[in-house]
Amino acid sequence: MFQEDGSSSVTSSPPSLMSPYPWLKDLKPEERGLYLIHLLITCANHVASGSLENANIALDQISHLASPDGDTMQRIASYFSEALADRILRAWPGVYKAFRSTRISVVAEEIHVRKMFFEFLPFMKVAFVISNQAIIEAMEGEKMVHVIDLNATEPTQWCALIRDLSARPEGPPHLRITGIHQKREVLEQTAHVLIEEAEKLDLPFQFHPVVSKLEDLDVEKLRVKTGEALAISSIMQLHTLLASDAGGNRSPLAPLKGVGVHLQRAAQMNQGTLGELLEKDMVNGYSPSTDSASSSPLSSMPSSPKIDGYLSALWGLSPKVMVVTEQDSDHNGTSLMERLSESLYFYAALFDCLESALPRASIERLKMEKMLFGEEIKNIIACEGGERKQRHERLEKWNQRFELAGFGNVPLSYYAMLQAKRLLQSYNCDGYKIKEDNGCVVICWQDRPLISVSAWRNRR
Amino acid sequence: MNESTASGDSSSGNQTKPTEKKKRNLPGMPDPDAEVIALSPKTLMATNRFVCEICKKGFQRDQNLQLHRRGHNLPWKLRQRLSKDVKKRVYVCPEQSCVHHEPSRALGDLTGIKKHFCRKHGEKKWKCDKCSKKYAVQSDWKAHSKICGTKEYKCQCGTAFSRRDSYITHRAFCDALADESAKAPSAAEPSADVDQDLEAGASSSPPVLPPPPPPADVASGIVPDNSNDNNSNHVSELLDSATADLSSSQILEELPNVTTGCSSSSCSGSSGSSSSNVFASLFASSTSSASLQPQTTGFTNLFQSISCPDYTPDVAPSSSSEPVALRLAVNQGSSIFGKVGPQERRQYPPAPQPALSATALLQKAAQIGTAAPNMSLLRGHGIFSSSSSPNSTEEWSQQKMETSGGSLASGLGLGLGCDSGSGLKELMLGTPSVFGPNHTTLDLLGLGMAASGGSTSGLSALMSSVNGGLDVSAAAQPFDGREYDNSQ
Repeated sequence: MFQEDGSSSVTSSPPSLMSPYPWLKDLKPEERGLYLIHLLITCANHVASGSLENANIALDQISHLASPDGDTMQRIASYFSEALADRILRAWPGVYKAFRSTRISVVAEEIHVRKMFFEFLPFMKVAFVISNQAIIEAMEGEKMVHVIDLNATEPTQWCALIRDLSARPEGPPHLRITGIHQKREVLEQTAHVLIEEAEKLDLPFQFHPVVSKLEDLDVEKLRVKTGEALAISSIMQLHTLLASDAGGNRSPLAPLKGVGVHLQRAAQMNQGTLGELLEKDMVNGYSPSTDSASSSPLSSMPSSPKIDGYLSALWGLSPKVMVVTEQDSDHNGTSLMERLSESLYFYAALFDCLESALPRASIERLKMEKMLFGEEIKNIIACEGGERKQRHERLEKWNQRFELAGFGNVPLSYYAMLQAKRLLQSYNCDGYKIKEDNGCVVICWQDRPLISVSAWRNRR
Repeated sequence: MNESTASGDSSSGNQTKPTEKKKRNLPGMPDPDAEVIALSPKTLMATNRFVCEICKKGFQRDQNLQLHRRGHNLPWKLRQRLSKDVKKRVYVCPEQSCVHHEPSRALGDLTGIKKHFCRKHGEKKWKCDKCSKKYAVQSDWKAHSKICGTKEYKCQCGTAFSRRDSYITHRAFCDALADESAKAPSAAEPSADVDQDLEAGASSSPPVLPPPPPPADVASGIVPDNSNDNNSNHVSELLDSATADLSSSQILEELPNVTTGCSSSSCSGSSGSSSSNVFASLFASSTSSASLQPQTTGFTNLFQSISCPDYTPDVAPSSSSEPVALRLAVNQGSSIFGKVGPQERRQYPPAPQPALSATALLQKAAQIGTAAPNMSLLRGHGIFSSSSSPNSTEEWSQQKMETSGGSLASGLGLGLGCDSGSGLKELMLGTPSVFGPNHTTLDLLGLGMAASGGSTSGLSALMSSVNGGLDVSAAAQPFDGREYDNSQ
């Protein structure tokens, strides 16, 4: 930042030959940044209130200042303005569809970007370290261990677990990993890596792929056997299930859950009949939450049948431990302005992380910003209903949900925290901070909480 | 004692009075006159032999069944036990390989033989939900559940133990304790000395604590043995596979033997509480010097010497003290994965967040939104005022040039003098909670320039002020785009 700053106030000029605002070129970066923030808020206001003409003007102004390869604020502004433009364009569905019809998504690129996120930013690694530690602690003494990974893309986590389990003093357990993902190829790749690792270390191992969308998951497919100790690992997945059932597609898990949380718990033995009962109830009286449901203060939970049913189903599997990593920020507000302000802070922190990790010219950084963060921002700002998958929520809300579903918190051990701290220190960057919050671990950038990791078990 | 089985002393002809205790044979030596009964496994495992014919409820004892039959208005009969008639019975275990299969080792108690059979030759069906212990006999399981987790020794670092001996062993190695005792006696000693011993083999270490050479020895002796150590090697290998970049950091250079010992073996990742046990065994096995008797104090000293915080700046960045167990491996881990790209690519030291960071900008914006009645920044551009005269533009440029590259606030401060309109100011400061449910917004307004680190409320206040400003019809004018035509 320092080295490139001295050269010019505008490190990269937006592609407009004849800028109608000549003074903009002379803005100092700070001022430009503040101006951008104002413009974004103004524009969002207009979008929210429907005055698209004004929004258009604001976007035009932004376009002269923002740039995907400028300084942090310029980059953020470019992605946020793109998201706002996306939102506006949806008002003309025909135009929107035509505009997006020729998009090609290259799967290899997406995988590559996730790998880079894993490498250059510490969040995934810390999450892995803490999750693995919690699993190992829970599985002490267990001979049969079954791990379910709700999104089996990164085999590194399980390689580490295999190594640790094979070296534990009481000898390795029989390990089974069930990986869930939409694409079979990804699962095959993961399986390959893990099986090789296990064979090297002589650990009895099985990998069971489940090709399924997370929300359509059928718990029967997971084939949890009695007598084995179950661990569930979810890394930044559960929030996608908060998308309301706007399309009316009821997940197969939904019948297990409905309005009657307590009924479910009490009659856990008769899941079959109760499920039918509840389903009737749901069909009759209960309507899935739409976007108009308030994102309420912590005391009253917004009703979202999908996630509650899902958590109940997971609870029904009686896992010994369930480790959850989630973004710790409220991007699930009902109003656009709420989401905009929260996500501005959140992604500002993430972009700052990248700024401290990679130089501005780095193509990896650009890709991550565009394909990972930019897409998330777009989803948060522009999409509604079932399409909006990036419904991050605060840690307290998640904790409430888990407790409601019958889980009890397992405080993360001192040792896990220690490992996480060491890991963060190795990044040699003052910005990362780690704090403990009621037994959960939160990774922050400066003071902004970003990612939280927590562990849960069945509470009787 | 099971009262349904007779166990009176057969040799004496006493009448057993209710208050008199039943005479028991010595354990392991059954009454020679007693009748030896061999029950089948099925009988032993059967829980409810006496079944009510009406409701099919099972009972372990006939007496209980008879009492239950009363409830059905069935004829019942409680047999009175006559101590004279009933002969002493002893039971043998049906399992051939069992010691108690011999009549001479028969057990005198029916319940006892049942429990024995389940415990030793049965399947453990009952599992404790707090820990992972399993039991074959329900009463064992119940008894355990009652005390499981109740009696706990808690170390200061937060780890809990149910057993006193494991607690004591842990305390010997716990870093929290090492911290405290390190601070007290020898606050000024840099354990870097000991580290340097490890790396350079230099023997010029000041006598930090009792026997300096042996700790160094043992420490290096430990190192290769650390292959079993419970440490975050998995962390290092986790990142090893992710990054191919293994250029050494400072820690790596300092503890070369540690690294090699570590990377050549797969390490376990058992929890911290078991680390002490592993370490204790390592110490026991690897040490030969007399100074390393497995005493708590000795270990604590050893740890202090090795794990004291690094005070010398050239030592690795990880400066907090920890037990050797964790530090050696964890540091290696951190060193190995320390090279994740960021260290190399960043050419400037990690300074406190410079003002240009997006996070800082947002905070500033939030402050300005709540405190400043006007954003002169935008004034000239006609966003907030109807007067977007060229005057204000020039004025803005002038202001901009006057400000140094320093704080923005001063730059804005210059512009704060001119106010566009009192109406706007009120609106800016007005209805704070237009958007958020946050009532802290009010606080922010009251506090003026008080910065809320990264909180939303500031920004929402800003937004509300923006919104307020926009509601004014005067301010709405600029957006019709008329003003900007001139430059096109």
